[in-house]
Order: sequence, then C-alpha cells, then structure tokens
Amino acid sequence: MTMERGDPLLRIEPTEAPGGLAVRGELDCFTVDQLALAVQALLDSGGDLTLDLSELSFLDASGIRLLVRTADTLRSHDALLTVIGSRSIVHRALNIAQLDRLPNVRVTHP
Amino acid sequence: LRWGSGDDQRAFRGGAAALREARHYVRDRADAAGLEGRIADDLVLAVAEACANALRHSGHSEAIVRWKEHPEGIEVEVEDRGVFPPQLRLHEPDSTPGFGLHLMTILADEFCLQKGTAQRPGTVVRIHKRTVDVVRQTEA
Repeated sequence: MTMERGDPLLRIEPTEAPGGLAVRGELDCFTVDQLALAVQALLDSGGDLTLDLSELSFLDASGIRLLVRTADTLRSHDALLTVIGSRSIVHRALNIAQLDRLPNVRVTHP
Repeated sequence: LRWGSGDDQRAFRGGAAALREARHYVRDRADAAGLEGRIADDLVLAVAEACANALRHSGHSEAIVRWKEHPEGIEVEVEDRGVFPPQLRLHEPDSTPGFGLHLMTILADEFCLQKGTAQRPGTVVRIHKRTVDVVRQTEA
C-alpha cells in the first residue's frame, strides 16, 4: 500500500481496446459503490469487460462481491470478464475468492 | 519476535479515511514486526474486514485495534461499541451477509468472536496468525 494520505481513495479511468476500466487506489466497502456505478454503465452498453487492477493496492470482501456480481451479469449476456491483476495482497484476495474458477472469468497478470 | 515487544493499540473513528488508516496501521505494524509477505497480507485483509464491520456496520463508526505480539504469532483484536446483528440481513440490498466474516475465518489461523449484545454492547473480533509452525513435543 504505497498511496499517500492525500490521494483519493479510488480512481477509475476508462480504457480502450480492451474496453473496460483501470482502477487505482483502494477498493473497500466505502469506495465500492463508485466502481459499481462505473461498471454498471459499461454493462449497459454490452460486450466483454476488462478490469485493470494492476494499480489497485487493496481489495476487500465487498470488492470481491462486486467482481462476482459483475461476472454473473456478463455471463447472462454470454460475455467475458477479464481481470488484470495485481499486487500481492490483491492477488491473494482474488486467489481466495477463486475468481478464475467462474466459467466466464479470466485473471491475467501483467 | 520478542513477546510483547511490539504491543500497541490505536482507535480509529469515522468512515472511509478511518478504514484506510486502520489498514495502513496494520500494514505498518506488520512491517515493523518483520512479518513475511503472505502472513502480513492475510493479517491486513482479515483485520480490514473486522474494521469495515466496526466502522460501517456497528452503528458507532469506531474501531479500536490492538496489536499483540506473541512468541508464536500475532494477535489482532478489533473492538467496536455495537451490537452484533441478532438476525440475518438477507433483505439488505447488495449484501451477501457474512461474506466478510467467512473471509476472516479463512485468513486467520485462529478466530474468536465476542458478540456485543443489547445488554452489553461492544463486539470484539480476535484474529490470530501464526508466524512460526510449532510442533509440540509430547512428554514421554
């Protein structure tokens, strides 16, 4: 966790090719709604989704829940979720959640 | 680790910033104690869940975090001033109740929950992480 005290807790930027979001900062129960809104906007537009978490420095249970929920929604549209991981603690959280065991999820490492 | 040499405690009050500070506090203590990466990550993840419950769901936006160093590991206690929910909260939007609790039990080597009640508010979560694998010798 290398963020400085004054930094915003979470920063979300759209990415092109692959289409999705790059998420920086720390994802927890207080910041997860911000990401949920951004993800929802992309889900509404359809297609596969890539979440680049390589600059994310923390992910808690509420973040994992959001990823699982997102994967479920994409699956009902026959679409894929790609998660680009990640620093050790985020990797550990993803690993415990066994996110890559969901049929339409790929977890890749930069 | 020297027993008790790094014992410490701190109170966190508020919302998002307090939760982040609590996480960073645990990370700093883990670094100061020289914990191995995986053990430190597991402690930070587990204590973060306990602090999230205290700051977000206890109704009091306060978490007291106690860091205790034992010869065989680290014990972190998180105390709030709330009442532990006496019922499942399946009706709450967007929550899978108990997921954070489940995550803590997976991450900890030992886990203890002392529930705050209406008569005696204050929930305490105790998370123990071993830093050495001890094989106990049985006396012949």
